[in-house]
Amino acid sequence: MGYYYRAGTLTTAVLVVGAYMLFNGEGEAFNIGRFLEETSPYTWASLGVALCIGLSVVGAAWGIFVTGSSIIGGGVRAPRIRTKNLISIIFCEVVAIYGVIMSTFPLPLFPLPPFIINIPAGIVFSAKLSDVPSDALYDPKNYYTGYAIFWGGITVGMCNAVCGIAVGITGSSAALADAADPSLFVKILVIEIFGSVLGLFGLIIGLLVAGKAEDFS
Amino acid sequence: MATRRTLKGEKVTEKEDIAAIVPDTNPNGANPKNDSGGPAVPGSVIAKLLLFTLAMVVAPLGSYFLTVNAVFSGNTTFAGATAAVVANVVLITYVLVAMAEDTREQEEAKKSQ
Repeated sequence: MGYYYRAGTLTTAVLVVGAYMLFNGEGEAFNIGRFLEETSPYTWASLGVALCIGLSVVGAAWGIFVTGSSIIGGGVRAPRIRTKNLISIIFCEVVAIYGVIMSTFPLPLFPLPPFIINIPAGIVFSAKLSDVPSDALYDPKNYYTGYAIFWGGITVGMCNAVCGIAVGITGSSAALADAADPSLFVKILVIEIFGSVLGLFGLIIGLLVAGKAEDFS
Repeated sequence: MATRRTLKGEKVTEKEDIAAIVPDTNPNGANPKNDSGGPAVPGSVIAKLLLFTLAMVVAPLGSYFLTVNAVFSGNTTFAGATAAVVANVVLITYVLVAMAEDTREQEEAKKSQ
């Protein structure tokens, strides 16, 4: 019920402000095309990078805390934590690494060997971010790069978030099943591997989308 | 506390349940140290987890930066795919290490019996 109340308040407020502007001759302020034209491509690109790494880490963290609590719970029944029991944690971790690979990396913090000195300051998405003079920024190619990184970032981020949750819940079941009957562990691990492949699908699509886009120029 | 159990009889059965479970928590000749209050997680397990966590961060990113210019001449798509493959290689290695440790422990348990 509380959501209906808030949604109603919001709708009423928007309608009142919108009607006021409309009847005072300022209705053209609601201009989606102008919004899209005037929003800097850097905004879209940075939002894409942020959503990519952020949602990936949310998925990985969610999976790790679900799995971790179940490992502790299973430890009450069978107090033998071996490398085998922690496989699910690494499975969740790899999801976060997918996000890092796709999105971002700061400038190199350490001296690099000469053959890789011309390194781009960033991985797949953030490698495309570079300083552009403001008169050359609003250019179709730059718009495309911005949108490609934004939607590619959302694709990778959402895929990894859901993949992390899937792997986490399966890993939690694996921990409990292993506590009850150790012979069940490998069977559930197979399902967990299938779950972790889902994140790769998002990563591949993100790579393809970003591969079409050129660097900001 | 509406759900609190106050009947004496129930408490006794709870304790009996726990007593029935506790001897069962040590199947297949697991480390007897666990019962004497020692560390339930061996140091080697933690060391392996930390090592592979570090490898999971360093190996994909390292392979990306090593290959992006030297091998793929600036093509980030292929270098990113390489990094993803390397991340999966580290993952599979961890699974194999865990399985090897598992079979070794089972053999040791059989020998001790």
